[in-house]
Amino acid sequence: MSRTIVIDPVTRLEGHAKITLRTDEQGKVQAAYFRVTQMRGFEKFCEGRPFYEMPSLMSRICGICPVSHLVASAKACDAILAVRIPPAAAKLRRILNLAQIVQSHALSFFYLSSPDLLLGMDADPAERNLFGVARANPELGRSGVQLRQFGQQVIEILAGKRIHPGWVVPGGVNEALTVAKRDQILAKIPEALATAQKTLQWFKGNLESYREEIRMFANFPSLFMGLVTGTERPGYYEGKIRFTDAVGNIVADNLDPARYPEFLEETVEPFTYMKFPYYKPRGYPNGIYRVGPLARLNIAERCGTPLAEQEWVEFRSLERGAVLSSFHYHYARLVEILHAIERIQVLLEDPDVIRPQVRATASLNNEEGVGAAEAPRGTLIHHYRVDEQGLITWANLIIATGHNNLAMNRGILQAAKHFVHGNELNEGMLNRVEAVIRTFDPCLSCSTHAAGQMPLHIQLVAADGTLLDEIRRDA
Amino acid sequence: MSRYLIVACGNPLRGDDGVGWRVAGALRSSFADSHVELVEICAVHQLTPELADQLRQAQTAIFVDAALDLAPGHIELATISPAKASHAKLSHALTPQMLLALTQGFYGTLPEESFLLKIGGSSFEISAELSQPVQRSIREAVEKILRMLARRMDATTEASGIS
Repeated sequence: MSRTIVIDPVTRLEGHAKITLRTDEQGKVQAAYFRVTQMRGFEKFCEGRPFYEMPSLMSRICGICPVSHLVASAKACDAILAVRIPPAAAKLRRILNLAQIVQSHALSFFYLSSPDLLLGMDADPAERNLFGVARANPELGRSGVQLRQFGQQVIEILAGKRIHPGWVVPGGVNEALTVAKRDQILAKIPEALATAQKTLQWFKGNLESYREEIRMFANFPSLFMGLVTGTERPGYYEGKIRFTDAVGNIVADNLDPARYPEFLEETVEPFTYMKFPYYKPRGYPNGIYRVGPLARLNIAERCGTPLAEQEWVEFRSLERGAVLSSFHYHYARLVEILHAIERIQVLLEDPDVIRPQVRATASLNNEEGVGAAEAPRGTLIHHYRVDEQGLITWANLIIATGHNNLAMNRGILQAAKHFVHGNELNEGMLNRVEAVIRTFDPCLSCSTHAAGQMPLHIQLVAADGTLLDEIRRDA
Repeated sequence: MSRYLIVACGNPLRGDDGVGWRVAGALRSSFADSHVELVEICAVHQLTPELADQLRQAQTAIFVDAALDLAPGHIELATISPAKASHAKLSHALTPQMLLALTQGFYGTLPEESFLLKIGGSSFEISAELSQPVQRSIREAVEKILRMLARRMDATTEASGIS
């Protein structure tokens, strides 16, 4: 008998979702759906607000990555003001964004995924959590605490508080960095670097034991997208968009993020609140692409800081072309933590960073603005239109997690087909399907803002599977 | 290093859930400068694993939180111990007892004593205001904590022979 298997809720991720698997008569998985069941709606309810409120308002989208929204939103507002922000402000925003990447990646790797990685996918679920990590490898737990704390402390020192800081504003930041604060952050760098390196060594030493997961966790050809700066390095705060393919060739390059509608399109599906962006020239769903740590390391030609550069070279040697297994998001996350800490140090040692000029002022000069930056989970785009009074008339948010929606759905189907056999279910099988989603580290609170666009398809099905009635509302 | 750690937990935009933050604010302005280095006060939305690092360094930890199982404005102060086992799959919302267990697991150490001060709430809807009974309870909660810390500070001073 065919069967529907529901994993609800999907645990250890940011937000609320469920996974539905459909099997055939033989118990083989035929379809898999990643269903995001929450609705946020920020695109709609910001309408009518003054544009200069947007960074603070938009940072409320998320308690994990508020800085990403703050930065992308402020950049969109910079465009509305038509200002070029002072060099110190740009560098301070870069540091803040990098600190955000460190703390968010640490949360994902250590708090959400390390129980699977350390204790195994088949471990007793009652043990497969941070408490189990504390018992099995307390040093790993301490490393997670330390790296997350490092990122949060840098954010707090710069911006006044760890969550929802208001320090980034249209035109720059609202307070310069003092020498004392700069030195306070610099003093924390060596320990953070050592911890990041130690964790990378531990993870690489265990890669062999994840061979099956590497092979089957969303491991397929796709495009990769991200910001590149200086034509070669990942551009976390700025840059042009690059697409590469599965063999590592550049498909499109030097794309202006502000012109994203020319190369990105979004569509919707009836089973989820999260939209499905795709690479427009290839259509839907062939325009599938991935963003985030794995993509950033795949599209770059170098990393640009000494320790991370060595790790990046080793990472890229995993495959001849692009690294395709989404399991390696974990690996990429650790390389990025190392890179971000090194980059923070470089920026803090730049004399510009303590200059007092940190904000450009102007009145409304454009009726439209786009801001893009790399959030921990990938490229984040905020796009606003305002009226003559500067009130928001329209907003579009293309969220990092959303870019990966097609890949996540395809990934759980691949994993479910391999690991799940409908006639003999066990918890470890289902955990592997969840763990595919965790590799992407989706932030669902961030990614469900479209209102009035979601098509609904409601089916009334009898116990024997007969379709009794259905209602369909198209987008 | 701070020897006394006060962790207020709640959401100040969800009515009475924010009472911990108000208690924390009142405590901050209550300590004499000489005690500032001894007492660390944090107000957080949720208890997260990073707090383990602060807990391992504390001699006494006091958690302050709103409660659903007490009458509005009613205060209860109790000693707490690390949780024995946990099924906290989400790792998003730790209880004070779970956090103590994590501290012990990660660092092999704990505060010598840990307390949970609960204040009964009645309204947890979206609001920056507290209900009247909860508002009135803040002073009593602050005084309880101050008295508790004063006794410990006095004992430490006597033990060290400092006058």
